[in-house]
Amino acid sequence: MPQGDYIEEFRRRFGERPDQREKERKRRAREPHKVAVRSKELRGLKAKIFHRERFKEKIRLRKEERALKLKDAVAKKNDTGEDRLKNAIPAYLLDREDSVRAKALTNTIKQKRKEKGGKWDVPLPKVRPLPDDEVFRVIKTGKKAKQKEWKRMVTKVTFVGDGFTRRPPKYERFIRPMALRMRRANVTHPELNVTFSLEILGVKKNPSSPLYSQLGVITRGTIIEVNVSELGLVTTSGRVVWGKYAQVTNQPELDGTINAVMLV
Amino acid sequence: MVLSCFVPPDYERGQPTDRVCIGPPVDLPLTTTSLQLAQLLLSFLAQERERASKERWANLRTLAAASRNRKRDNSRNASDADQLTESQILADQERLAVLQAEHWEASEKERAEAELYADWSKRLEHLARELEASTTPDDTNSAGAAGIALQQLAALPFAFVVLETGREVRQTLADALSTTQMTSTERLLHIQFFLQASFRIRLISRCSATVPGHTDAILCLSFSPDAKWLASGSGDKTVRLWDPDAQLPRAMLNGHQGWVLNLAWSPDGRWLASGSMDHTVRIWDMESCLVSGRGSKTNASDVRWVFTGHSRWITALCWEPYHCNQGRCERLASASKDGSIRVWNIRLGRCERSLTGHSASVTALRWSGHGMLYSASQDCTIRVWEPSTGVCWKVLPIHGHWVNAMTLHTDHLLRCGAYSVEDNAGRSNGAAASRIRRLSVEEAADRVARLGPERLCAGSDDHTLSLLTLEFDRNQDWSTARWRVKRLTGHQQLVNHVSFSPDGRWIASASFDKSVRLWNGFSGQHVATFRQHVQAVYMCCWSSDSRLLATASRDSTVKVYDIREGLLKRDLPGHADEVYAIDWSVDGRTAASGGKDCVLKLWR
Repeated sequence: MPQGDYIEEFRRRFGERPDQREKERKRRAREPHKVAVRSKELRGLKAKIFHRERFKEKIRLRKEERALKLKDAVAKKNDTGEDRLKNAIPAYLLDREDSVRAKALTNTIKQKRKEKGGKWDVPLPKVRPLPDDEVFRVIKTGKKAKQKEWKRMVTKVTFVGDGFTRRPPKYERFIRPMALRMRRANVTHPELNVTFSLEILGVKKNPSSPLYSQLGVITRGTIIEVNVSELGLVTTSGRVVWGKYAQVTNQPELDGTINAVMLV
Repeated sequence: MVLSCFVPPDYERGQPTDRVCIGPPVDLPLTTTSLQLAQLLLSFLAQERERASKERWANLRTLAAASRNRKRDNSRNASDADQLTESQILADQERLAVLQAEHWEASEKERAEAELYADWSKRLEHLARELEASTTPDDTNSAGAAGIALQQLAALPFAFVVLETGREVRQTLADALSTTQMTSTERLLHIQFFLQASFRIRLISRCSATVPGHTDAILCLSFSPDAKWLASGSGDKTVRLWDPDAQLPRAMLNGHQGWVLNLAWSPDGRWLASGSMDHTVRIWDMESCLVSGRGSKTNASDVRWVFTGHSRWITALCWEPYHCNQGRCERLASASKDGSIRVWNIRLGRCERSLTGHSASVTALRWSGHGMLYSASQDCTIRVWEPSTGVCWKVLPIHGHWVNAMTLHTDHLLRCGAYSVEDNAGRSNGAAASRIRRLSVEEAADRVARLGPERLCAGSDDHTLSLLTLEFDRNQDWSTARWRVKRLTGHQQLVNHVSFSPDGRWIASASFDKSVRLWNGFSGQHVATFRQHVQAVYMCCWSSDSRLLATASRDSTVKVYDIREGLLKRDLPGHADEVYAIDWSVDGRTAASGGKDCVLKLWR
């Protein structure tokens, strides 16, 4: 069982090591050398796989570079002051451009309506349904359990709330492994094009099965609720928005992290 | 019983009390209502007036007698009449003439005042009778009647504050006293009185219309001084005129090449000035565009002048007060980001003066009733200019960071200029019975002068406000005038907007720390904090009876506060995004707000 976020805890208490930045920089700088050594040393099938990957990587990088250049050129062309004249601000705010001006998002009513209908206009409308035998592994331990085989272990990432207490292990039907529990998600705001690391408040809906929603299983396409109180969004009635929904876009069990898109 | 005396609003502790008290100290029972206090005060004021007039008469008479005597002496020994006595006689006559003129003026004023006071006391008597009737037990619906009567107590011509506790006398004197002070009968209690509006503005409580039209954020709003029209300037480069009664758009003024950042109606309501991001100021002729009835087909021909000269965007506009320059309303001052201020003449259509001196953007501009121009700037100073000669009389480096906003205690009156709200004396219930009347120049000047010496309040980026009081020496010379500075601290972030209440009694300040604070307009004491907004507060505006305060905030709501109770009165959600501008019409019937969601909302 992992011992929680002990590294974070250490940093919170004592701060980072004074030379941490430097070490990271050096590690990054050494990275190409390591790769080069590896590519020379590898032989056979491993070399084939390695070079194939490297080839793909290089193509990706080149493409990205080209896209960036194109974007810059377009931005330069359009930057004739027209862009600034889009969102007008009053005279008393003109000199305060440094302050963060995130758009107030005002769609609680819309969101409520969605909730009622149970229909979601989401970025990922269709995902492959997950069968039970992929999500749950049958546990065969002990004499009693072996006879009936009713114990399951969840093999996907789960969210477990703060107030959760395990049942006595003898009666526990679903085991949610500590290693696959996650509390934070990287949520991208589609209009602002910024990504925040936000705390998860709960799993709203897993499209595959209501049982998964209940267990807090997070797979691709799952709607989760995240805590946005730090972003300072406001409703039309002038209250701070606390929770907002987001849809998971990656496969957390493979990536080890949750990436999501906020629903606006 | 407590021994108490009345002191005027600008009373300060430490002055010898016998000189500033109105009337003699009196023993008052604790059950004295504010109504009785008002009646007592009125009688004292009448006595005071009589005493003053008698004194003046006596002065005049002695002087006249003296001069007559001297003349007689002179004629008796005319043979040896020398130059000295001749000149003395002449001087005497001159003095007499001056004194007589003063006397006439003063007695004119007194007569008007006496009429006003008589009217008030009649109304108070009426109210007292009503109250008495409502408290008698045999009345069937006594509770309701009493409630109405108590409501009317709020509309008395005076407000009373016990200076020792700083609390207002709501119903009886006992309310404003804490228990420890009640027992001591030896102490003299100072009851400060403030004039307040005798009409009441009805609370805005609902959104009566949401009018779309603008295609970009609404940046500024302004009701005309006669409350007939509403102008809004927006990021879509247009100025639109609305009819607040019909709640319909009336005209669209095209012409600006950039966002319209500020609007200012001339105090007589004839002209509308708009300042823009394109460095120009445009003057629109409202008479041709609204009254002549060409309606929505308004075009660029209605622009009277396009003033170019600034090299950056316009940050503030301010018209010359109505009573200066015989009510002609022809001069306009504009301030710009480039640090210069220009004074334009709209008859001649040219720039009269360019006032340079600020080293950074000018943020606020006020043309005072004394004919001086105040400017606040991001170079942390406030300057005092004389617009006719272009002399900078004073530089006040009182802040540690940008000065963002400024307000004068006569702001409301200067804005209304030629118009005034008056209560309908004929109707017995004072609520919402107001009408608009056009004033003569003398009346307007008198109205401004009655608010006392100049007070100026500025809000700054260094989280503080400063209250400046002008102190003249004897001969009213601007070069030697002193400013007494009081620093008001309490805000935790920059102060974006400050506003004096129409009667000059309160200052409200809106800050980015999500709070609105209320200060005493005379002493600068902190009175209350309103913390209901959840985001930065951008603007605040007063109802014209100074009893309600509306604020606009980044959290997309408008909130209305009751000053008397110190409470949030109404929360008005409805905007879909930040609210940038808010304005309350002079007659108090409508308030308007606009913001980033491009719609104009009218509140009733």
